[in-house]
Amino acid sequence: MNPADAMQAAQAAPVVDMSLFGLFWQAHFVVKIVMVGLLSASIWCWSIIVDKTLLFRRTEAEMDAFEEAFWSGRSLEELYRSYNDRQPNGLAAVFVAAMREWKRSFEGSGRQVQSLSQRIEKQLDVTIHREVERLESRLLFLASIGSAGPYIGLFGTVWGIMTAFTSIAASKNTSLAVVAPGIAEALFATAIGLFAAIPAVLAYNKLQASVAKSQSRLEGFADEFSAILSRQIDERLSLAA
Amino acid sequence: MRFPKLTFDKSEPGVWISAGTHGALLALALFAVAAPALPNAEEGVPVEVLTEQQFSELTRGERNADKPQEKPNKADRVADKVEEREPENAKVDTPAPPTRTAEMKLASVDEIPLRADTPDPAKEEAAAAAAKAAAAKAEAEKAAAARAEAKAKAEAAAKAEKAEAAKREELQKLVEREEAEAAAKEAAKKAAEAKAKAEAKAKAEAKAKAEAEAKAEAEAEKKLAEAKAKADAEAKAKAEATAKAEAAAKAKAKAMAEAKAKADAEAKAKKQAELANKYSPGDIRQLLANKAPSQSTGSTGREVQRTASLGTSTGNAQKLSPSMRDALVGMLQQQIERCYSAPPGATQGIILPMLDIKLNPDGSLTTEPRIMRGGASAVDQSIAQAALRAVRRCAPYKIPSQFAPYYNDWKAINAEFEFSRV
Repeated sequence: MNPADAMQAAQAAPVVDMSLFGLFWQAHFVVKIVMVGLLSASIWCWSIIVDKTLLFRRTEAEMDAFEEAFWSGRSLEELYRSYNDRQPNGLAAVFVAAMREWKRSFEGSGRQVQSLSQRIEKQLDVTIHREVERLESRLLFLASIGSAGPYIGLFGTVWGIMTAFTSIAASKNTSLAVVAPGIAEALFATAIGLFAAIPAVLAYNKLQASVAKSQSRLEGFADEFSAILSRQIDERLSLAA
Repeated sequence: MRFPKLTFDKSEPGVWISAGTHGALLALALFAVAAPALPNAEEGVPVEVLTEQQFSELTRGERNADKPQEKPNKADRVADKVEEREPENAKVDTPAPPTRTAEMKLASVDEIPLRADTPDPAKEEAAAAAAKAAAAKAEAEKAAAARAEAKAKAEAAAKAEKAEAAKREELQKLVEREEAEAAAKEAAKKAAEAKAKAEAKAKAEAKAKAEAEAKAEAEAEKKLAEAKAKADAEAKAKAEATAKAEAAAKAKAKAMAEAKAKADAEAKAKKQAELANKYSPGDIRQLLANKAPSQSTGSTGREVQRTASLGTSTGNAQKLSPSMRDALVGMLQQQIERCYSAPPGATQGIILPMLDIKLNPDGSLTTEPRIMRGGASAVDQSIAQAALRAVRRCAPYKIPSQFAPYYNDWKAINAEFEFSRV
């Protein structure tokens, strides 16, 4: 290749805009979709992270407040009345569910005390399950993004590299100046994928640990409370007998 | 999956916070962290491709030469007769520059520059002393003359005759003294003559001149004396006497000055002659310059070409490159293998036999192949013998022409051959 040709080729080489917006705009349609999808996934992930963090903090505070009230020596009836009005969360929900079943058993004419203990256990279990589910909801999305995000980004990258090589073949020029921009914009997709996935994985692990902690706390309280209630039931049975 | 309401909920502000943060980050990345402009794309530099032949040539010769030379710059044999003429053995000497000849006139002494530009200070001193002595002598003479004059003046009135006689006597004395001086100089010159002819001649000439001048002076003096005598005889007046005395004094002074000038010239000429004959180490250069530079025409058989040679394609002892050697051995093995039949019952030997195969340029065997190294076991021995038979049977071998230049290297091949058990 003589110098004149080389000069022409250099001039003909595409001027590459390496800014973020430029990289996005030059990308193939599929890669664009991948990028937009990953970006919205990232936004959604962070919104979940923020919401869940706030929710757990709130739940923790409510549990602390309830435990304090529970062990303050107030009568169970009083507590039930004060918590039944509002939508109870966490420990309060467990307490209210158990108390409701207790009260229902002693309402009306007949006393159904025989299997009351079992019913209360069931109620406690169901309530705990419901509470944990509420805490856990949407965390799975974080897990999915954490594991699938890089793959989605990689898909965009592979697609971008394919188109880049097609353009290389079209330009009949193997210089790095022709190859590099396509690969760079393709790799941009993987970058966005990682950008979405890394916080998702970290947050998922952290939030999952918080859920486990809350669940064990709920279960502990439920056991304690069911012990108290069964003692009450036994007392009443012995009184009745 | 439950999506949050798009209205702002105080308990779940995640969507809004997340979207806002992402937007801010994107804006920051777009405007603040703009990618730097890429440099202009440049074409790659073309790479020179060497053939194997060129590469093997490169491995010979000198590393920093420009290109291989057509002819090796070393003579194949040393010339029978080395032709090298040193300056001493030159056929023709360059003519020596003219030196100062003895016949050179004294008058031209001034035109010839002194050989030594800086005269010897001692010599200079001696010259200065001589000049001083001469001046002192002249002064003494002048003083004597003045005295005589004064005496003459004093005595002129009373005894003109006496004064005249005294003057004459004085003159006589002067002449005598001068003559004595001349004689002394003559003696000195004669001594110098024994030393060098040039000096002697110059001196002789100078002496002759001095004598002539002295004679002329004496004559002038005589004439003066005669004139004086005549004047005395004619008139014996005081004024005349004084006038005569004055004239005599003047003439005497003139003679003195002439004598002095002559003496100076003589001294100078003497010095010149001495310097011309004296050996001076600084003149060795001049002596050497008499000879012409070396007239050597260059050696025939010696290595005279100093340009570096980047290998040569015609020099002897070309070496096979390792890859070429491998290729050649592989080719031979392939050809030998066709004739090889494994000895019955022999499994693959442990030690591969190393064969020594001597080849002609056309690929035929020069001598019987030999086993260079083989195993001691019966199996190894039988395999080696089978290989020998195969080598013998397959000759001549086809060797590609590209190996022809390296025949020196492959005319004897020692290699291990491994044959599959056919």
